[in-house]
Amino acid sequence: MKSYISDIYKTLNILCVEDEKETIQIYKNMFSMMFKEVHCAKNGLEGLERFKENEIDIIITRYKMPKYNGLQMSKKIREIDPSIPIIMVTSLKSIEMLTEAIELHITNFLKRPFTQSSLLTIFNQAVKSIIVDRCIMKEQSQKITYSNYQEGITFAKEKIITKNDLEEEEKLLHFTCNTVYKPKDILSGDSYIIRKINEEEYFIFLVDGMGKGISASVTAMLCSSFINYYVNLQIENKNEFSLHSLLGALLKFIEPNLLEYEVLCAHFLHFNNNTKTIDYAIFSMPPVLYMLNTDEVYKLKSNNTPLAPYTKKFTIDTLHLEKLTKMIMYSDGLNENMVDDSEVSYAQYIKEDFKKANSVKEFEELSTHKIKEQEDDITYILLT
Amino acid sequence: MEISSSSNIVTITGNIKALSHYETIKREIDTIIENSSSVKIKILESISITSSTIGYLCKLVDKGVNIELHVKNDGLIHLLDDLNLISLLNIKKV
Repeated sequence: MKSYISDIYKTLNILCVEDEKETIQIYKNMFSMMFKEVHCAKNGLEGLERFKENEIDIIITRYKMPKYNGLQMSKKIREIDPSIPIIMVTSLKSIEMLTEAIELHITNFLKRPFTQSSLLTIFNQAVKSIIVDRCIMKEQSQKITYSNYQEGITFAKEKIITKNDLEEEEKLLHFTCNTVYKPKDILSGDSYIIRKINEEEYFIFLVDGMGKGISASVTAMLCSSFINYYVNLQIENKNEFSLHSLLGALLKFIEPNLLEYEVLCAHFLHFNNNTKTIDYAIFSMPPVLYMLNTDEVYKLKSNNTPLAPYTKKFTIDTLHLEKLTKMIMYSDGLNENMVDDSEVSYAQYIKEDFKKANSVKEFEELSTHKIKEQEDDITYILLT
Repeated sequence: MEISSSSNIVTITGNIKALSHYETIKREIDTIIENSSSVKIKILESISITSSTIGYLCKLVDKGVNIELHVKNDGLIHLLDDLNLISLLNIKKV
């Protein structure tokens, strides 16, 4: 143990603050073998400067000194470092001085004149507190590093699963397709997939898992992963894509993976330019807004209740694609955010902003102007 | 959010927004349905409802509990209509 502590001493820098030249010399002789670096100052003011200039681990200071005394210097140092061990050497023990010293968390006192053995005893106590502090800091640092690593790798995973075939091309038939994905946490309950099945067919899936945090995220990622796998199979095998078959398969897959009370809200849209139709199944999501070649904004409301472990049936409806000029689908994080300085949610404004915006940039400007504080995950897909 | 109940009627005031609100609502309704196969839920002020609460109410319906949801706020009624829940959750405008 002693050898361990002496090894620790050799990693520490000491600051000695003392106005007597003889004592400074004694400190230098004694401490240069024990510590890594010995810094000296001849009064409190100089001591404070040395402390600021160097990486100091432990301080021994005389109380009575010209300019700043030991306590005045300690007060300034405590403002910078609340925990560095400070040992005060004094022959005085007035009540006022002791009270102030306790308030400043002076680690220990050393009564002048002192012996080398009493000095070492006090130093050993101080060094043990440094060891404890270092262990705590190391543990915290390891936790932060691990947490940062986990967050980084999780986000990378989410990016792989949240697949967008149109990320670069941005073209879905004759539309420009843009996505805005602003999760509040790394693990978000929102996820989406945009897949190009072939030149004439596209599939969009936007999911919002129930609740917040890891459970919602796991479910959203499970669904997204399964759908990616299913769509890949259809493309590879050159099968005709069927929303009905996909939903049937997803229900079977997800049923055993959901909690008793868990539900899932989602948009499923299959764009087919051959039939000039969009087949859609919307499970308790905010309505898809769309415009035809008029000024009217229409709603594509949910045609299903939320997906649940007990869901057995679903409805698929069809919208004609020919006159479609613009469309937006979004999770509830967008419309349920409160508008600044008002008691209303963004749901009151979304239709109007959608009508005005001719690009994702314009819509983003209009919406963020109203929603200054994002309360929930925001995901939307805009076709213009 | 505040909740009270009398017989098989649950009355909710304030906004249903937090996870803790869902837990409170679930606890209150679970107590009622121990002795009753039906529950009437009055939502008097809320402009929103959490997805956890929706999931819980949907499961009650699936279990055969007769529920009636009496909602006062027009915005919330519209929201529940958009989510296709009016019929499933037997929602009535107060």
